[in-house]
Amino acid sequence: MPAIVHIDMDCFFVAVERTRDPSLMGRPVVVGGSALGDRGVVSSASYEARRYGIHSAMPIAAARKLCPRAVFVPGTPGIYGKVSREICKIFESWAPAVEMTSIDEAYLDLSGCERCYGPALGTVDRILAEVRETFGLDLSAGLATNRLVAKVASKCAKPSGLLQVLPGRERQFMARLPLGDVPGVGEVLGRRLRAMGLVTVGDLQQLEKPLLERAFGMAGHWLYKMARGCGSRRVEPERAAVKSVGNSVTFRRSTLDRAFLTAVLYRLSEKVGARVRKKGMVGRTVTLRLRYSDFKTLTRSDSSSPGTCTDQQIFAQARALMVPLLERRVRVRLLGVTLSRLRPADSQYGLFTVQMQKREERLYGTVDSIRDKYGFDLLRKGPLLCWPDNLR
Amino acid sequence: MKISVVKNNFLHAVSALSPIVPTKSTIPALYNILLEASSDDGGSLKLIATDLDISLSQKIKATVEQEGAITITAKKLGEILRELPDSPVGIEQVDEKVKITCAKSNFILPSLPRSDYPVFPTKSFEGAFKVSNQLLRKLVNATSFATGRDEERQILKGLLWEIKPDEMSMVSTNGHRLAKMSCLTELKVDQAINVVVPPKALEIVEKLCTQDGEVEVVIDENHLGIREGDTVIFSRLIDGNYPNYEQVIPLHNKQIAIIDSEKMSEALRRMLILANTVTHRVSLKFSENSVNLSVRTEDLGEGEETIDADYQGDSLEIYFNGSYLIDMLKYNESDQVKICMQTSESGILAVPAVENEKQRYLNVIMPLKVTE
Repeated sequence: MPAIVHIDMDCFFVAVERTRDPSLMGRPVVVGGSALGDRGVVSSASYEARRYGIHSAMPIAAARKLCPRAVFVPGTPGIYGKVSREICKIFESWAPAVEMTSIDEAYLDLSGCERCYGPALGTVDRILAEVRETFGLDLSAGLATNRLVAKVASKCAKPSGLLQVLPGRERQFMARLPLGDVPGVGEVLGRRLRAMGLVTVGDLQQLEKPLLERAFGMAGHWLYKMARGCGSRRVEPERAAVKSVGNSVTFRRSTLDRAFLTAVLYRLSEKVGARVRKKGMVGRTVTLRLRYSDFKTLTRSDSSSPGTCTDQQIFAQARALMVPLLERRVRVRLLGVTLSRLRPADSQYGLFTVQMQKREERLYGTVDSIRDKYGFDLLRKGPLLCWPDNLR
Repeated sequence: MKISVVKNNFLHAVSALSPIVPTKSTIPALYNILLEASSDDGGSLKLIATDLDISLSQKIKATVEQEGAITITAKKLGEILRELPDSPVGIEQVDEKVKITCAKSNFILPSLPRSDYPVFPTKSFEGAFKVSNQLLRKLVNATSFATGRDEERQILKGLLWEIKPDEMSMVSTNGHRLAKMSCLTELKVDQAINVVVPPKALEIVEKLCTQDGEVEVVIDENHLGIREGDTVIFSRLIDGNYPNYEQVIPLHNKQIAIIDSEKMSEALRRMLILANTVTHRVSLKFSENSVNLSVRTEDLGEGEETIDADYQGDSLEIYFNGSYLIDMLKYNESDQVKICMQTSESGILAVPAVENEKQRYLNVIMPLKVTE
């Protein structure tokens, strides 16, 4: 019987800060932003702070208005990743496959481990206890036959609980769940489902598969399976190893100035390119992240190139992704560029491309070494000569 | 339709068609083969398979009681035929199904009507020119290995076939290496023809035409047809401009090494055991009268070996994808290979050490970057 576990660390950043400073216990705590002012967003809020309506990704300034007496902690760089990696080691000592999907979330596959450890539920309890004892952190976990149900279960178990959905009871368990709470149902899909009068997963279970597929296409197929509590069982440790390199910037004043945004995009592409080249990698997917002044955030990706690490190529793809988003005529607050699906750079010269390969190698080799020695800003490309001071 | 055929002939034809039947398709009819029975020529059964890029048909003798045409799942038909005893096989259409009988065994298989089966363009063989099987096999064999398998550029997946009245060549490249073979021959063509053919089509021809003889070839703008006896194959041509490969053949490389092909191949195979599984990186260090092969891969280990070589040039170290070198040596018919180099960052030209007036074979292989 498959035994998939989803583990979520409760208010991870806050919990880590509390282990460093016990005086934060029991008080509303908000982690995020910078020490200098109210710029930036909430990375994590304690349950006490959440009672005031504060949630992740909310601007710090808005959070301060909601609860002025909360303790605002700017966050300690590096510490969270380190704790997360240590916790991952504990998971790995128990489960044959562990996939860290983010700094504070993981899937474990305990299928077939009953022979060694006894029933899976007891095993999960022991894993949680070990993390609690070692790090003083609270975790919630869901145990089910697939990833989807395990994730929903861990959410239901919060805070600091453990919930098992017995095999064969997935459909019944999912039925009561509001559609908005299903991982994978985003804002757009949620709105369309509501327009059809569907509120809970149970409502969705009443609909036939052909109807869903006609109405939602591929998503219809997924909705049908999701409503019945079916989901993937794959826990892939290497997936967690797939890294990406990204840079983003939030502006002092939101803007619609195209020349400025293009210049910023070029600069972000250069930074991403330089970092990827330093790792000796190339990436397939260029992702653009754009946040408007009304906080609507969009991400767009392009995987059309076989793998690149040149500034020019990253920029060209990112710009093509950005241009349509500016049609909305709402000022832009944040821009980000990410290169993902990284693999080691090709070391093979091409028959028809060797000249270009050598030219690019020489160019970027020189540019990168000058920047390493004299600072990144010493060299600027044409589009950046109009570099304005509307940054940071 | 109601017919009877000799089991082994039928099995042989179905097996020949099976590489064409797609394993994944959105058109269900393509999983089937089309059977057409006709009483002409004393009774025959024509079998046709297509994946919409290539179509292959074979004709076998049959005792035809009633003419007709049906389609039938290729995979299950082949599996059943393989297990049947050596007795005549009866095929009969019963409503929308097909009944297969042989000795005491009976099978009923689902069928799709002939009208569901896509019609693949066919062409008359009038004005076709003839090529010897042996020559065709040699050209395909010596070049098809170097085509790009999962290239983004469609054109590199094909084999460039250059046909002139007095010479025939095939060229393939995946963008990193190139193989070309040219043979002198006399062909009844009025002018030079250059087409890019899916290698699958030619590989099927190579497998089917094992007897010494000739095939008829007909080529138009979009299609290629090849016929040998009762076997006919049609293939779409790959559209686009083949890269100008002649300009990347390094004809003026000055540093020349002559090496025993088999010894080099054996040494490379040993080195590849410890090479990186993605890059297959192997170092070749040429110095006076020897070449040192070495490999070093983190976590796997290292190895080196020196073999004799006729080399008088400057010492030179070049990194290669070792599997490219092994492929090149495999099809290089001569006992010794002549490798012409220039620098550690430019392509090498490899040719048989002994020149053959009637046939020229060459490989160009690009090196790996020095730093990794």
